[in-house]
Amino acid sequence: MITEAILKINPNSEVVVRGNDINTCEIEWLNGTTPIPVADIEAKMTELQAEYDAEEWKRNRQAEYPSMDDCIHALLDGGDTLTELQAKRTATKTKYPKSGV
Amino acid sequence: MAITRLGGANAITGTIPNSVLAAGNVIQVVNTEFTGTESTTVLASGGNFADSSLTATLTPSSTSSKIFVTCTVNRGSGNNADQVHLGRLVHVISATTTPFFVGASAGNRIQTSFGRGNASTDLNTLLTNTIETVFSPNTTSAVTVKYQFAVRGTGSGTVYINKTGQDTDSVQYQRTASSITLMEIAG
Repeated sequence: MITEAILKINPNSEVVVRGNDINTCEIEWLNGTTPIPVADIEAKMTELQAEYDAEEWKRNRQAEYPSMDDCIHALLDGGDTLTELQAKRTATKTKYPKSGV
Repeated sequence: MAITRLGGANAITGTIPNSVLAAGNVIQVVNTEFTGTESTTVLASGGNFADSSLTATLTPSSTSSKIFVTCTVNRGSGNNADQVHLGRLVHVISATTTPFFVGASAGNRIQTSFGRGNASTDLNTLLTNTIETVFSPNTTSAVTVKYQFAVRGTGSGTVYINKTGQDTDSVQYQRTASSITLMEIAG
C-alpha cells in the first residue's frame, strides 16, 4: 500500500520500501525522485484503503457469481437452466448490495 | 597383515589448511535469510534495478576458489503485464558491481535472471524461484552477492519480495522468506 500511495502522488517515483509499516519502514528515493513527506503518503494510504473498502460488495459478488462456464452453458441451454442461473445471480446481488445503496 | 587402529591418545588432531583441500571441497558457507518485506517501483526499462536486502558477503581464502550461489526469492507482482517482478544477481567486488547469471545482450531487451512468468501478473500470487550458479571471483577481497529487483514495462507499478501485491491482513495472505547462500569451493 505504501508504494501504491507514493505512485498515486507521483507516478514517476522510483523507490525501494524496506518494510511494510509506514511508521517503521525505510524509504529509499532513487534516480532523482523527490522525496514525499510521510504524512502525505499516510493520507493517500488512508484514501486508497477507503476506496478499496468501498468496493467490498463487488469482490464478494465476483467470488459468488456463477462461473463463466456456467453462464455460457445456461445461455446455450436456455429454459430452466438459464432461469436458475439468473436466480443465483439475483440472490448474490441481494446478499451483497452496492455500498451506500 | 597387521592393522593398527588410531584412536584415543593416538588420534590425529588439527585443521587441514584450505590450500591443500582437493578441488571441489567446500571451504566455507555464508547464508542470509530475509524474512521481511520489500517493494520497489524502479523500472527495469530505465536500465535500473534496486538493491534488495537479500545480500551475502564472503571473503575467499584463495584466488582459485569458486563461489557457488543459491538464491531463492519469493516474488510478488502487480496485476498487469507492466507490473511484473524482474530480478537479477549482481556481485560487488572492490566497489565494482557486475550483474551475473543474466542473459546475453540482445538489443533493448532487459538482461535479467528472472523474467515474466506464466502467473507473474497476479496480485495474489507469489512465485518462488531459485537460482543456482557458480562464478570465479579471482580475488581474496570480500565478495558481496546481491539480489536486485525492478518492475517490467514502461508504465508504473510496484513489485514485491516476500508478499503478494494484494496484502490484506487476513489468513488468505502470506509472508514468506527468501534466502541467499554462498559456498566457497576449493578450485
